Amino acid sequence: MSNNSVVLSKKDLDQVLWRYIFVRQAPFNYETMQSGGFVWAMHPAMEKIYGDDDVIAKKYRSYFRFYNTHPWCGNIILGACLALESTKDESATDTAVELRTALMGPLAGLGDSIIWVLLMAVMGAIAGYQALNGSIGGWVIAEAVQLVIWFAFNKMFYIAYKQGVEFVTTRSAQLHNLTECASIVGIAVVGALIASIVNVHFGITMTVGEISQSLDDQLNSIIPCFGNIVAVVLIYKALGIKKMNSAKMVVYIIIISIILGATGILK
Amino acid sequence: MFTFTQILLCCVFIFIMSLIGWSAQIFAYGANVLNGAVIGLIMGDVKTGLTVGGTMCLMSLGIGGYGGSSVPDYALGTYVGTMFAISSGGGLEAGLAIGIPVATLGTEFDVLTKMMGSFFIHGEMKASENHDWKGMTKSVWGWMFLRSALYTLPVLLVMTVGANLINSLLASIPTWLMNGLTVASGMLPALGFAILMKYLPLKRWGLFLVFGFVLYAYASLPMLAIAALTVVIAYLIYLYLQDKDAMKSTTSTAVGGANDDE
Repeated sequence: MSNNSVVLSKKDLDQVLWRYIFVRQAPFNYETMQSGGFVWAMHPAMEKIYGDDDVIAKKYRSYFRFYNTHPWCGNIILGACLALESTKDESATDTAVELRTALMGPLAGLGDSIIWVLLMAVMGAIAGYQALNGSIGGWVIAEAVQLVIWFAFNKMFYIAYKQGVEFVTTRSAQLHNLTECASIVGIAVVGALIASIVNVHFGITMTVGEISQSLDDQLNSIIPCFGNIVAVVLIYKALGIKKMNSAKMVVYIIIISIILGATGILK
Repeated sequence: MFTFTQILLCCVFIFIMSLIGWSAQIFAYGANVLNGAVIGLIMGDVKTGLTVGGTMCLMSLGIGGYGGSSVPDYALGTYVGTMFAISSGGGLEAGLAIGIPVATLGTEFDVLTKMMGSFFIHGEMKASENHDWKGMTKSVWGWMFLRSALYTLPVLLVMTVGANLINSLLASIPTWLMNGLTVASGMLPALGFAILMKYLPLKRWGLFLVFGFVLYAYASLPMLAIAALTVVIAYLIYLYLQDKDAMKSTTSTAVGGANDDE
């Protein structure tokens, strides 16, 4: 059986990867999330491996199950799944779908914390600040960094296919620690961003005798960016309220800001 | 108000950015700076475009649709905000006054397209059962194009039939409301960071919030320096965690006190 197993060529893999890059989130839906694009992307490879429409359609029933991860990290999962399918083992699809389900959570955690949170926040801050000074230079840096990571993740699709399941399982412990440490950097950056980007100032002026002093200056002389801290802590606590979500929160923040801004409590 | 060329270029640009944003995602970092700059270029005022885009970019830091959740669409806010900041002559304030509400409405749009996805995924599953591989392609790409088309439609509407209405609205916005929206633009980033804090392991590593805050607020270090410094510390912690894992896996072998000297 092993001698007639079809191994996908570089060209086949290229095709699958490019299909995946363009559809990895389509058609996004609340039932299966990203599984539709996954199936469509792997189709040429599955056709080459099995060559039988009945068999493929049956396997797709499993692949259509719920799937959601960080889109870029999905490259690794797809590569590993194809490696399993290439063995044409009877239980290949079951194993591959199980692997996919097992990996999507940890990889989403890694992708969200490093790619979406940490780097996006740092790069976004650089791009945004430079833009306010009238320069697009910061965005160019941000884009360059993003492209490097983007291509690295494309590369990992091929590595995952070549090394197969081994690649992902041996790396998983390492991955866990890496995510943990990336989160540490993320937390520190968030701390710095709270000081730099949030902009909440009290507009009240206190008059004692003949001296009038702004409340904001007084508070900031004790703890700099005092208003920022208050805002973040209150919103963080408010997010914990039942049935609260970020979409509702935005509306509340806008309404509260307008009221506090109009009455001069905040400026 | 807007010339035909401006409307066409804006709509084409927004359509393409929507497609890329849901597929290859090659413009994810600092995207709204690019969005503002390009719309600014089309409108003939890149500087205002950068200001609106940069502000929106900073406001959106930390806000992301993790795990399929829907969040305000600051890109849509940037597109509409920039074009009216320039066309109304009101600059950044006018851009925020229209951009923030539009971004908020974008949340509902996102939910709508994901609900729409159910129809397409069932189409794809059915096509698969019938071995209709072309039909599968239609379902996947149909969703992509329909989503981007629906995304561009409101922009087209506000640029054509809604333009005069929005400009007269912007002209008549009272100062107190403008002040309120400026306050909101300073407060909204706090939401992004609060959301991030929910996702990050604060229980264990929460003190690093203080670390980053102090380095910026007291020591005035630049953001990259703070990130680099923390990477060094995080690397040491990584080595420690790796060592701990390695020890755990070799506990059956000798648990040594060999490192006593030095």
